[in-house]
Amino acid sequence: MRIDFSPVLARLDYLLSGLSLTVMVSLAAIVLSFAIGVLVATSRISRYRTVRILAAGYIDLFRNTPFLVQLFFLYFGLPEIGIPTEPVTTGILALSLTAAAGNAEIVRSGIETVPRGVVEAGRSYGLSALQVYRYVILPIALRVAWRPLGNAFVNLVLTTSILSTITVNDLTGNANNISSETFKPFEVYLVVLVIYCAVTFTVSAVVNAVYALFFARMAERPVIRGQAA
Amino acid sequence: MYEMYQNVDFTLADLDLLWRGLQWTLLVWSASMVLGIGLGFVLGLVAHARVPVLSQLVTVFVETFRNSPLLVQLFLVFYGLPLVTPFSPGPAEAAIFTVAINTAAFTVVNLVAALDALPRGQWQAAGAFGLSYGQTMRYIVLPQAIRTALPPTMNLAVSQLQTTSLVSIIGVADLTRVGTMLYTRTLKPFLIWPAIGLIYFILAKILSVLAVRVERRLQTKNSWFQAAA
Repeated sequence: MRIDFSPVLARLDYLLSGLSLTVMVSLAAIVLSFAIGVLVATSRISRYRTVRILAAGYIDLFRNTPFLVQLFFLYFGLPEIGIPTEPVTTGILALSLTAAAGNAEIVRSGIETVPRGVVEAGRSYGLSALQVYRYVILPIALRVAWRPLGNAFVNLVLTTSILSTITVNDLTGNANNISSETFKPFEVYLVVLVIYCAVTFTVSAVVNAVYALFFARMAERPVIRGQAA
Repeated sequence: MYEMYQNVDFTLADLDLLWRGLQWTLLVWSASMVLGIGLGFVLGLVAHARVPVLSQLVTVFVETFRNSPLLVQLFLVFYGLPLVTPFSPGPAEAAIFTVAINTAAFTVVNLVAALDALPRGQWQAAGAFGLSYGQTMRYIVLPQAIRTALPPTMNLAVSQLQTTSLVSIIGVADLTRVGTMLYTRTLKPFLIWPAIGLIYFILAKILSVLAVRVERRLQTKNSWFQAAA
């Protein structure tokens, strides 16, 4: 059979509407997974043993089981305990929970690079523990963690494709529909492959731009409200 | 009336089903790891040698497969290839082939990074001793680079175990597929998905213990190497 892209290109609008859902889901999951990740990372090095163990268990559990199994558990399992599920929100939830486990490890290793002396200096300047966290520890930790986090975000975007298995009409979901409609799977999936590449290159570019804007010029010493500490 | 036709209880045959699913998962994983890491090794050498055209092709291959979802790659191979090429792989062949290619792309990055990390002085010194490119590679560069590249590649292999769950979507009867079969028959997602997840969890733990052991052995060899050098 000959390679013919015209049936696919004729349905490009439909494919791109799937892309917009992929982008939306990705953005939501990136923000959520980042927030949960910072929370879990903080818990992972908490002074309370129980909190530490719970956070470590969370990370271990989500990193060592397949995403597909987690997704099926949430999507088919939650209705069993009376929580109705809907593909897109369940998908965002599952993605965020998984990605948060990876993000937590990245943020934690960032926090561990912050020298003890810097934290003590912050305390002796009269900052509260929370202020030290917000103005001293996190900016330094995030600077170290930002590039690995960027890789994790790219990975997250790619993982959104798995949501098509619970009937989310994202880029991959719509590609499946076009494939069965036109019977041109090779052409469809090749185009989709290129679109995903374009999306992930964009994500990488944004990650690098943010690094250059906010982190590269950040002083080696932490800056508190415009004044060098 | 409807319940009559449903076989909602678990039987001993289900254990057999799980066992066979486990075997498929391990087969797909081990075959694709051996093929993928082997192919990645060869392609990594090509990429590092800067062969005109060939090295650029490897880079394009690596970036495409690292920046697109494995699920789309699976669909491209399983549904797409038979329509445009004489090859029509079955589910298992398509699965092993695709996971191998995906793994190869990531292995190339690990190997090239390890090769680039070696100081240029070693090449110059080897050249001064009259060693050819091949000899330098074989006796000087590769023994060190492989030691650097192995830990990230083993981590990759351990995490690819989770990824193999995606092959269930193209019909390989692996653990996840068995989970789907049991779920659709018994409709007990709250029991089945954690059980399947637990098996993956145990497998991943065994594999990471093995990886740590290999790493430790290499480290002792490495220290011997450094002491001798």
